[in-house]
Amino acid sequence: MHEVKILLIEDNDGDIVLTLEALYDARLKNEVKVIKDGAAAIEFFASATKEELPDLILLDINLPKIDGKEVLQYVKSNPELKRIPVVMLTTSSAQSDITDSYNGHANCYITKPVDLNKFFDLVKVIEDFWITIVKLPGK
Amino acid sequence: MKLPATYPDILVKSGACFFLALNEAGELLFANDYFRNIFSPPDLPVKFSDLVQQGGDALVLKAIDEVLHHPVASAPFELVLRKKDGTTVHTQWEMHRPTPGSLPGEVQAIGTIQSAPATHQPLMSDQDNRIVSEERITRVLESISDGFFRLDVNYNILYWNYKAEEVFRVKREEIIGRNFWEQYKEALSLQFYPGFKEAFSKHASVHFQEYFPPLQIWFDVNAYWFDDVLSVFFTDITEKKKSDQEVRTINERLKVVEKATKDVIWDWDLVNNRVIWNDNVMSMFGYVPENVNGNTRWWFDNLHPDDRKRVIGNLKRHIREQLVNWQNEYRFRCANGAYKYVYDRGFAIYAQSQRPSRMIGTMQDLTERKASEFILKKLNNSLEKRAKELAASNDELERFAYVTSHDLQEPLRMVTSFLQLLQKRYRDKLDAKAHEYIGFAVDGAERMKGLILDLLEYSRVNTNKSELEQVDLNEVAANVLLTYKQLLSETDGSIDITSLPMIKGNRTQLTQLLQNLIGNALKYRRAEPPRIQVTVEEHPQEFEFAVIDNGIGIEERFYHKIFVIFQRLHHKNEYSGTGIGLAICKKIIEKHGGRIWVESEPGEGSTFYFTLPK
Repeated sequence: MHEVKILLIEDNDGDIVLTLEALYDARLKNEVKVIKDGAAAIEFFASATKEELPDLILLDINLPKIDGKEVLQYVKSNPELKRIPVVMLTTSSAQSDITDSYNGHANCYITKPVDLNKFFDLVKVIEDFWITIVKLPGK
Repeated sequence: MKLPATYPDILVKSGACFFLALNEAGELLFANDYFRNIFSPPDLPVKFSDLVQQGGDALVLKAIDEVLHHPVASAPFELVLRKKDGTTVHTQWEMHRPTPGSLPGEVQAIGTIQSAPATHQPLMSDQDNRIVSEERITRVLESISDGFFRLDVNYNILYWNYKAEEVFRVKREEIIGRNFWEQYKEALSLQFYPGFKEAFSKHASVHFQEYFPPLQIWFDVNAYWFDDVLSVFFTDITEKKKSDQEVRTINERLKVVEKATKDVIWDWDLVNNRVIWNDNVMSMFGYVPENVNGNTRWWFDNLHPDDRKRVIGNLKRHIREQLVNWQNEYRFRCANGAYKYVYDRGFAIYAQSQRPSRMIGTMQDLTERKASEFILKKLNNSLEKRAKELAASNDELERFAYVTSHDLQEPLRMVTSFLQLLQKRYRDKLDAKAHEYIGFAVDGAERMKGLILDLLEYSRVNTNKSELEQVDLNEVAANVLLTYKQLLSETDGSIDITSLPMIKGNRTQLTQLLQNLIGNALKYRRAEPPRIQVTVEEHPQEFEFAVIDNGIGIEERFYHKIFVIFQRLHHKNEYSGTGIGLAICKKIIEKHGGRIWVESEPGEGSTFYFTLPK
């Protein structure tokens, strides 16, 4: 099995560390790339080669400059990118954020649990589901 | 025959008067048709004397002589004339001197048939004449709208006309021949007796008005004496008397009202443009009424210049459109130069020409009311402003509570998460003390999380009217019971809920309300099994609910404290909770337009009352 590429778009250093720790705990061998704002994410997508594109995108909503919803729109309107699963991973439980995300074709929307162990479990579930269980179209 | 233009048309065409033109010799020059039809003289001119009986021609010539040669305008004379059928008739005449434009030496005679038979022997028999004239008189007496009767000198009734039958409600057959005073004894003591008596004794006519109680009628009576017979004409004037009395009463009342009211009363004759003001112009404005009565100029001049155009325009339009009730508010200058606010109301009366003939009205002093209105308005404005500010600050507070509680969660999550990560990753490297300290920190963060979530919940209790629906509180209570089913069986407790009404409200919030109250009743229980009762009492405007428990109770001095957010009466080791439950209940109740309060006996139990409008 090849190394799984995960792109984490998140501006909060604490959350970055927690997510990386959780992924580190997971069984799968993975390579995680972190981008800390929306503008940088779009720049990356624009210049990335096919090999550099991730297998899964974990996307926060509250991002500086360009927010997560706009990044989602960019990804889902680009023919090369739109098949990559996008998991909205955010602290917001606002109904408008949830609706907007699904309208923008997010693959799923998850609110970060406050408890650490629950968060670790969640990250494991995400990785299991999208990397191991689900058959993806491939590059 | 040629008619000179000077003969008056009315006489020429008359069907009741003879009209003749004669020369000095007494020859007829002209006779009108009425004369010719009755007497049919041969072709004119003809000697008047040919028609005259018993040497009447001398009387004719004498009359002609008088008007022609003596300074009299007319001369009367009587003649018996022979009609064309050979019978004779008694006539009365007046000879008139010639009018300008008539032929020289011409005189004119105007005559009529004498209605009453003269003392001379008439050709018609007395009886015939009497029948004819009585018939005529009877016809007249029966057709007139006046009541009429005749009395002889002993007050026996000789005649009783149709109208009299109607008014006295007695037929002539029943009353003719009877004595008037025997029939109407009541009239003896009234004006009737002296009136009639006077007419008989003085051979005169009398007139009086008198009320006749048996018939409840006011009579206007004219009695004429003639030859020891009294002819009595009477009219029923009860209605007129009544309306006269009414007018008098109204006038008297008006005078009292004028004295009683402080309002100025005015009466404007629009035809002559004259206004009368009552005495109150003195007390209200300080003017002497006599000095201001007159045309409308005084009123016009004292209108406030800023109001004048509006008021006059309004009044003119009112009159033009023939409206009746006019009213306006304006400022009016007093004698001392100050202005008073007045409320002026007028009533317009339009004549048949549809032009206004008169307006009557009152002016009311509004100055004091205006002043208090002004103060009230100011007060209202500031109240409104304060209410708006309060609403704004309330909204802000709620938004603040929502935002802060939301944003506070984020760093708190970090604190909790990294403490837990520390425990997870460095479990083996930390000693027992370090683990204890981390435990305190995690516990503190947990409690803070609880507070923040409560705050969020509290700030979300914000009912919009659109969210209101008909809620069956029995359903709500059943749901709440389900929530506490386990706790109830664990504590061996019981809840007794009476039949509850339907309420217009927010279902979620009402559920939360009952859940909090029943939850509290279970939570603050004593050692014995909790007994809880939910009751309702219907009032005209609202329902009053009570949640009664047999728990630990609350001291009276804490009654208010328990409804304040985050206020707790107990140490968190005794009873868990942040102290938000009752604060949320209070907010829900207030959002629904009700009240909530508590009555309690420490150690016995508490009763939480709340009301919800119908």
